[in-house]
Formats: sequence, C-alpha cells, structure tokens
Amino acid sequence: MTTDSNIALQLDHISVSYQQKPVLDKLSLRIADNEIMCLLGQSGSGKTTALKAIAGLLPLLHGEIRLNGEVLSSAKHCVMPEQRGISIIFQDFALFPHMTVLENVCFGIKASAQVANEKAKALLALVKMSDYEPVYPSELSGGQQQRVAIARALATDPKVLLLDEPFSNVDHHLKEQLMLDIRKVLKQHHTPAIFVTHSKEEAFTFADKLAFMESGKVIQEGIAESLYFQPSSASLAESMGEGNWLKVEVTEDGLTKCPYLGTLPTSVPNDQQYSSTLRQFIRPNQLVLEANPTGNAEVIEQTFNGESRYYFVRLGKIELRVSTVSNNVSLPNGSLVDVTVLSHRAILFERT
Amino acid sequence: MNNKKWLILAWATSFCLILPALFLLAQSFAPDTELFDHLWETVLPDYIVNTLQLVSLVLIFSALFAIPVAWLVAMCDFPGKRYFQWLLMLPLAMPAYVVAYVYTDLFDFAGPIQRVLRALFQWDVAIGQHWFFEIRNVPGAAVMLALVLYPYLYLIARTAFLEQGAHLLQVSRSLGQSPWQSFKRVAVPLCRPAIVVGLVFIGAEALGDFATVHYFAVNTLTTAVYDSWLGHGSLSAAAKISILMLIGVMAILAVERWQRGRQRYYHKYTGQTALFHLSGWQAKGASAYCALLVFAGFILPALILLSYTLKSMSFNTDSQLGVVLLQTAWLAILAAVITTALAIIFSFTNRISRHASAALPSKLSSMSYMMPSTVLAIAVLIPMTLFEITLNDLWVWLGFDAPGLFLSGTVFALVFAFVVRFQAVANGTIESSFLAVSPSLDMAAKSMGKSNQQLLFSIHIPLIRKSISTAVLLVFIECMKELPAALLLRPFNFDTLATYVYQYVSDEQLEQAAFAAILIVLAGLYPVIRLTQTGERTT
Repeated sequence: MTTDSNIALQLDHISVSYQQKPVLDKLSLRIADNEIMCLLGQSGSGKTTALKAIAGLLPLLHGEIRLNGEVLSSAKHCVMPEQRGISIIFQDFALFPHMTVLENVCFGIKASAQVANEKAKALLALVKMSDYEPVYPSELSGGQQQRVAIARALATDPKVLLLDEPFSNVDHHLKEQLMLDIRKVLKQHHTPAIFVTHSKEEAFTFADKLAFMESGKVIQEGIAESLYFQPSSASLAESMGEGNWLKVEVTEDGLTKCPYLGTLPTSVPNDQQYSSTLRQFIRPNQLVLEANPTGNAEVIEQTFNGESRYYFVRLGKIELRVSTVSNNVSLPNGSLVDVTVLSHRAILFERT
Repeated sequence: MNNKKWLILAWATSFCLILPALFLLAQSFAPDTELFDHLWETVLPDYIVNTLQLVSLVLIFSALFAIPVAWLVAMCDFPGKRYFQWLLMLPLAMPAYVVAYVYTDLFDFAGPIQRVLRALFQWDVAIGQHWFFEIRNVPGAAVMLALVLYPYLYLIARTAFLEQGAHLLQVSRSLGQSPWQSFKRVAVPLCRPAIVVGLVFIGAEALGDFATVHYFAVNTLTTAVYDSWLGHGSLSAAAKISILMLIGVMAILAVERWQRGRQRYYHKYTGQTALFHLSGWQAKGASAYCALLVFAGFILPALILLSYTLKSMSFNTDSQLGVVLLQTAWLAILAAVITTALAIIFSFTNRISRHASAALPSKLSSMSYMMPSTVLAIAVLIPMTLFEITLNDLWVWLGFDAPGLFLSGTVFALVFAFVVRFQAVANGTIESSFLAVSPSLDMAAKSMGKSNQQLLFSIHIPLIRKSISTAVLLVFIECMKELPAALLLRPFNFDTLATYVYQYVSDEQLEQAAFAAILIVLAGLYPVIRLTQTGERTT
C-alpha cells in the first residue's frame, strides 16, 4: 500500500510536449518502495513519454518529479539523466553490441575492474546468465538479452527501474516464466519499478499496481482486480477484455434490467449517481448458456481457443458473446438456449 | 537464355572487370625491376614518407571535420541543422585541385590576404619581419583534400549514428555516463566499422590524388607511378608502386576486421529523434563549426570561381571548350550506359539464379571502387598492352600491317577504366532497386510462361527505370569529374573536362578555365542532391 512515508517516486501534475504536441497532461503518480507499477494503455496514450520524463530524457513543461523527496525535474530544474540513479530498459533491450555480456553488465558500475567484475558476475548468476559472460548480445535469444538487460540495469543499484514494453520481444512460451523470474529479482533487490505495456496479461502477472493511461492522463489506478471488475471508463473496461454492451435501466431494488434478459442479478454501486439511460458492460464469462429446445436465444457461431469456447448468441435484436470452459459439451450452431447472467457488481456507464 | 547462361554471362563480364587487378598483381612480380630498384635507392623512400604523411593528415583532418558534424547533425538540435545536414555535403562537388588553386591564390605571398596584411601592418618583406603559414606543403595539401573528401565520412558516420538510435545512448546515460562518456564509450566504438570504411575510402582517394599534390609540388607514390609510366614507360615499376599503395588500403581494412572479431555492431533503429537540444554557446558553436566547413569547402571556392569567370568572360568563348565538353559527354555516356547495363545483368542473374555463386559477380566487380584511380589506370593498361603486343606480333608474323595501340592508344582504355572504376556505383543503385521489386512478381510472370528476357524487359526494367536513369546519371557525372585515370589513359591530344581544367590549374591559369570548372562543380552537385533526398527518406 502506498502511504506518504514510503513513497519512492512521485509525479505531481507533470505535463510534457513532444514536437509541440501535448503528450502528458497533468499526470500524477506515486510509487512506493519495492513496488512494481504498471502503466497500461493504448499506443499513443503517453506511457513511454512518462518513462522518458522520469528518466530525465524529456523536459517537463509543468509539474514536478520527486525521487525520495528530492526534486529531479520541474519546469525550471532538471537533474541530468546520468545523475538520477534511474535505470531504463527499452523494448529492444539496447544492449551494447560491441561489448560482451559481462562488459555490458560492468558498463555502469563505478568501481575497480575487479569489484565491477565480481558484482556483474553475481548479477548474471541471479538472472541465470553466468554461462554467457563472454558472449556477444547478437548471439543471445530475446529472453536471454532481456535477462542481461535486467542485470545491467540493476548493476548500478538504481533507485528506480524503468521498463519500456520489456516483454514484447520475448517468445510467448518463455514470457510468463521470465516475468515471474524478473519480478523475483526486483523484489530481492527491493527495487521499485515502473513498466509500460499494452498487454493486460503482462500487467496482471508482473505488477503490484496498475495505472491505466489515456490521452496523457491516468484514468484509473489500483490493483488488477479493481481495474478489471470496477473500470472507471468504457475504454478501460474494453482494454481489460472483451464484453457485451447492454442498454439498461436501474430498478428501484438497486438492480438493472434490460430488454430480453429482464432484471439482472447485478448490483448497482451505490456510491455513484446514475441517470436513467445507462449501458452495462458484461463480460462473456459472466453469462451462462443452458440448452433448452424452447429457449429464446439461438447459437449462431462459435470459436474454440483451447481453454474456453466462445459462443455468439442471438437474443431478440441483440447479439451476445458468451464464454464457457472448453471441456463442456459443445452446443451446435442453430440450437436454442437460455441465457442467464451470473450475480456480480454491475459495470455501468452513461449512454453517450 | 536460361539461368545457367545468365550466370555464365555475369561471371564472364565480372571476370573482365577484375582482370586489371589480377594482372596488376601478376605484373608486380615481373622481373623488370631496374627502374624500381633505382627509384627505391633514390626517391621512393621520400615519396613513401610523403605519402604516409599526406594520407595520415588527410585522415586526421577528415575525421576532425566529419565526425563532430555527423554527431551534431544526427544527435543534436541546433539552429540551422535542417540546412546543414545537406549543405555539409556540398564540398563533394568541388574538385580538390580547384580548391587547392583557389586557396593558394588567396594565401600565397602575392595573394590578397598577405597583401592586405602587409599594407595594414607595414611589414617589411625584405628583412623577413613577418611569418605567414606556407600552404604549398604536405599539411596544406592534406587540408585541401580533407576539405572536399570529409563529406564521404560525414555521410557514412551520420547514417551510422542515426541507425545506432537514441536508446543505446539513453541507456548509457541512465547507467551514469555523461554525454561525452556515452559518445566516447558507446557511439564512436559502435560506429567504428562505418568510420573505418569512410576513412579507407578517403585514404584511397587521397592516395590516388595526383592533381593536388602535383600542384603543391609534393611528391608522393602517385607521382612515382606517373613518372614511371609517363616518364620512363615502365609499366612494371608503375605496377610495383601501385601494389604498394593497394597493400596499404587492404592492410587498414584487414586490421579493422581482425580487431572487430565476433562483435556485431549492427543495431538498426529507425525512430530517431534528436537526443540533445543545444542552446546558448553550445548551439552557436555547433552552427558556427558547420558553417565554417561549408564556407571553406564550398562557398568560398565557388565564389572565387564565379569571380574568375566574371573577370575573364572573354576567355570563355574558347572554342576548344565546346569540343572538350562534347567528347567528355559522349565518353561519359558510353561508360555510364555500359556500366548500368552490366549492373542490370549482375543483379538480374543474382535474382533468378539459385546458384550459390550468383551474388559474386556483382561483389567482385564492385571491389575496384576501393582502388585508387591512379592504381586502377595502371592496372587497366597491363592486360591491354599485353594483348596489343601479342596481337601486333601475330599480325606481323601473318604478314599484315601491325594494328598498333588500338586499345590503350584510343578512348577504349578510358571507357574501360571508367567502367571498372564506377561499376560499384551502378551496382549499388541497381541492386537496391531490384530488392524493392517483390519476388512474387517474378513467380507470377514465370507462372504465365514468360522467359527470363521477357521477365527482365517487361517487368523489371519498367519497374526500375527510375533507378536505371539515376545509375546512368551518377556514373556519367563521376566519369566527367574523374581526373587521375583520364590523365594517364587519355589518347594523345584528347581532353576531358577534368583534364582540360587541370591543365589550366597546373599552368596557374585557372581563371581561363573557371567556367569549365564551374560546369564540373554543377555536375557534381547532382549526386549531392540525390544523396540528400535519399538521406531524408531514410530518416
């Protein structure tokens, strides 16, 4: 949990322009000691720009960046990138191709050659790359390059580590294990980190906390579950996974109702005021299908992805997407079914 | 023609193009060493020292000029950067001997600068009251050559810095390295192969230069080659000296490659943005340094040339210039068309043939570009004279009149030398355009029953016609500018535009050929514009 006393990095209303276009608009964030924060969002939402501003690679127009209470950047003041103690890892890992793995890791260590070597070797052991010390980056796989980049970044004992889409160049089947390994290393080193991605799977696996960005602002910040189950915007809801949009009204009982499905067992959050014209977001796994020859819905298409089966169901004038676990018996196209909604907290937005 | 025949054609033509280099190598082992031994005992050691000094200084000056501006233009934002990125290439269009002439005229004892200084400070010349630097020496020649050759290195280094990308330097800084340390430890080592290629190219040009060093009375190995062949008629001695020069170029390349070992430098990145936004004195300094180079390498010589032309308008009615222009043009067109046609044969063969050796003809025929043109001219003469002597003997033996020097004594030698020298220029242009044509077009044409020739003439040539005209134009201009090979190989009483201008330079009368010199500069501007456009597209 982030409290005032354990804040490592603090961004207060920072604004950044790139080629005269505003990219970050009064962005505020707080990252606690030993916390891994994920900046999530679509391309162009300002995630990478935020990282570069934190690293001191882009100047601020407004606002302030503080690290352990010390001002790093403001509109009038900027600590040089090399004096910040903030390491950055890019999507392409940016390993120096003219240096071996060991030389890459030693690069930033300010100590005698012997001490630097020992430290680099220890870090390479930590990321399981000891066998590759004399190897050049071009001879490594994406996952191996990633591990070396992490070791190199940690070698300078950074106060914060920044990672820009670090897993996008790693093979899919290696990704999850690599994420867990690197997370473990960061936690062992007590290094707070901010990483940027547009993949919710990566964000959920790697981060302690997520901040969803849109148009240079943080729209919502919190743990993965809160962003997934209580998204504060329609775009965030859709970014967290596909779903069905239904036109609904709130009933007097604090539930919602819609045509064809009637009253839904979804409770309306009572901390918000809603108008009568709403739309509700229901995820495919919050709907259940049951074969019924007299059912009012019809299966029109289905896809199978191994872990689950997706059905496209027509109910009156609406089309719904429903997911079931794949080992369930398949319902043939054209079969009639009943659609029921599982009880959950409603995700509601005003109709635009 | 099937694939095999195309492969044979490509190999046969590329073999003809590398023949001079092979003969040069063989000739250097020939026993006729009397002249070479004499030169070795008398002037050659001095010439070697002069050459080493000249080439080293040209390389040092070129590096000092080119690398900082390449870095500034690639990585920094400063006033005028947009214009400097192409203005810095303009000196490429200026022949070094013209620059040498102009600066000598400017800084010589009788030149305007010394005259003004003498008048201003009332220096008494008779008692040696003042010191003024001497321009007609090895360092002077090196500066002149570096002023027009640095753009080669600038262009290569700028591209290398751009492709290196900002990430490596940003990471370096986030690892605690200052901008200077990042430049020294990351940017320059990473660009080393590119820098070495640029320097080797400049070294080869400096090594092959005859006009500038001759004008400055600096004797180098090139002088020895000219003296051996034109003065003493000894091809063997000229070949031996040429081989010495070639070994120098090869040695630098080999050392760099050996030192590089397993390292891979390639790190292509294309989202480049300026990394450092310069302001205050840094920004002013950057703009001033770039401006100084453009001024010294192009603007000042161009202005002086223009003033010569205006002053000597009456000389420009010289009817000989028209003849020279015409014969230079047809010579250059002939060489350009042959070179481009050969480049098409090489690239097309490489495309259609699945044979592992299909890529070699193009590579082999491009190798001569690294050969200093003086060396190349000597290399071209060896097989030609050998062939002529054999044929003449045969003709006489058969009872006919000997045909004489029908190759080396005619423009054939010149055209052949131009083709060998500039094949790489055409190969590069044509190869890249062929790469842009999707291989599926070939498959589609073949599936419709088209032959190789139909594929080439109805699909490829229409698609790459712009590149074909570019290749023709680039080679045409290079031929027009080429001096050392033209001086050695031109037939008696035959001038190209470059030799015409050079003759006036060596007679200290450039004013009379200033208009012709301007024509060479204007022609040289075209490739610069092309390079600028290509550079802008890549960035």
